[in-house]
Amino acid sequence: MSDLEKLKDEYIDHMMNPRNYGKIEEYDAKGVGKNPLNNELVEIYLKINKDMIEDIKFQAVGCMSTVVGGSIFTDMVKKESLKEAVFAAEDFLEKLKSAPPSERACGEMVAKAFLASVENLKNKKEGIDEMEHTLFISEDCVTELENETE
Amino acid sequence: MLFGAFSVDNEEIYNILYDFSMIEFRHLKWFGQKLADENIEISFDREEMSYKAKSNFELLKQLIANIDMVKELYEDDADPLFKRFVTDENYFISKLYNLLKDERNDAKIRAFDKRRELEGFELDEIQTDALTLFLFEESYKEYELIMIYTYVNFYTKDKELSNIFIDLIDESFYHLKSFARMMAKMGILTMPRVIMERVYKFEDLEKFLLEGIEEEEKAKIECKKLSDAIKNDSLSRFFDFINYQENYHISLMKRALNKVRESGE
Repeated sequence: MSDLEKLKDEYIDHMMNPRNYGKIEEYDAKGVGKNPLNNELVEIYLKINKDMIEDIKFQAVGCMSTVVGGSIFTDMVKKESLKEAVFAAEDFLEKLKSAPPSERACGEMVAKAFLASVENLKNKKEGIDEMEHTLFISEDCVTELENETE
Repeated sequence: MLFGAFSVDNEEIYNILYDFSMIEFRHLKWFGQKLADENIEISFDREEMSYKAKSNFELLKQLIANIDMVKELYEDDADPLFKRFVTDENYFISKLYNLLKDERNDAKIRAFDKRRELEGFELDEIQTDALTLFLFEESYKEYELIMIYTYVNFYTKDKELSNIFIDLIDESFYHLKSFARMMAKMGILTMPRVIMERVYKFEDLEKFLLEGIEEEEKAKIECKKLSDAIKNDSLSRFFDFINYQENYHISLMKRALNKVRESGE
C-alpha cells in the first residue's frame, strides 16, 4: 500500500469510526465552533484532571471533513496537557491557512470549538456562570460546486 | 437491527432483520408519542451501538443480547404498549435463535472491510472516491431527516402536515436503505452518528422547512454531479431516479411550508 493509499485508508477509517464522538454528561468545559453563515457547528466537551485532558468528545453538524477533523484532533489531544493541546489547536489553525477553503472552514470549526472549550474552562474558574463558550469561524464552508452554482 | 440487516449478505436473514427493525421503529414512534402526550422530554441521545460483527452468527447473538437488554428497561409490562413490545421481541428472539440452528445461515460479514469495490461495476479511483463520499454524506442526511421528522411528528397536531412528514420519513427510509446496502457491498457500511439535540429540538418549523428545501436542492446537485461522474448507465440511472424523487420531496416540503404558514404550527 502506497503512502497515499494508507492516508486514504486512514481517512475512510475516521469516517467509518469517528473517534471520541458523542457527549460527556459530567463535563468540565464545553465549547462550540460555529459557522455564522449556516447551521454548521462543532461542540467539544472536556473532562480535565490536573490540567490534563482526561477525556474529550465532540459532536458535529456538518460535512464529513468536519467529522474526520474532529476525530483526528480529539484523538491527538486526548491525555495531553491543556497547554500542549492549545498549542496543537493554534498550530492546526496556522496549517489550515494553506488548505482548500471548504476544508479550512471545517477544520477551523474543530479548532475553534476546542479553543472555545478552553475559554469556557477559564471563565468557569473565574466564577463566570457560562454553560458553553462559542467562537465563530472566519470562512464559510462552501464547496467548489456551490461556488459554481451561485 | 436495521444496520445489522444491512450488513448481512443473505437475503433471507436481511428480510427478517429489516422487517423486525421496521417493527422496532414503530415501537419507537408509539413510545415517543406516549412520552410527548405525557409532556415527558424526548431525547434521541444514545451510546455507541455494537452492530459490527464478523459473521452472521456473531451478529444474531449480539442482536439477541441487545433485545434482552432493552426488555429489561420496560417498567410496566401491564401497559398494553409494553406488553406489545415484549410479545414482539420474544418472537424476534425465538426467530433469531432458529436462524442460529442452521449452520448454512452463517457466513463472514464483509460490510466493514473497506474494500471499496462494487461488484459488477468498473469504477476508477475518482469515481470510487466520489461515490464513497456521496454515500457517507447522504446516508447521514437521510438518517437525520428520519429522526427529525419523527420527532416533529410527535408534536404535530395537523393531520395533513403529519401525513406529509410520514411520507418524507418513508421516502428517506428507502434512500437510506439503498445507500446503506451499497455501502455494505463496498465494505464501508457505517451507522450514522448520533443526531445532536439542537438539530431536532428547534423552535421554528418554518425556518427548518425553508432550510430543508435548500438542502434538498443541494442534494439534487450532488446526486446529478455523482450521476455524471460515475459514467455507468445502471448506476447513473439509479442516481437520476433518486434525483427525481428529490423533486417531489421539495414539493412536499413546500406544501408543508404553506400549511405551517396557514395553521401557525
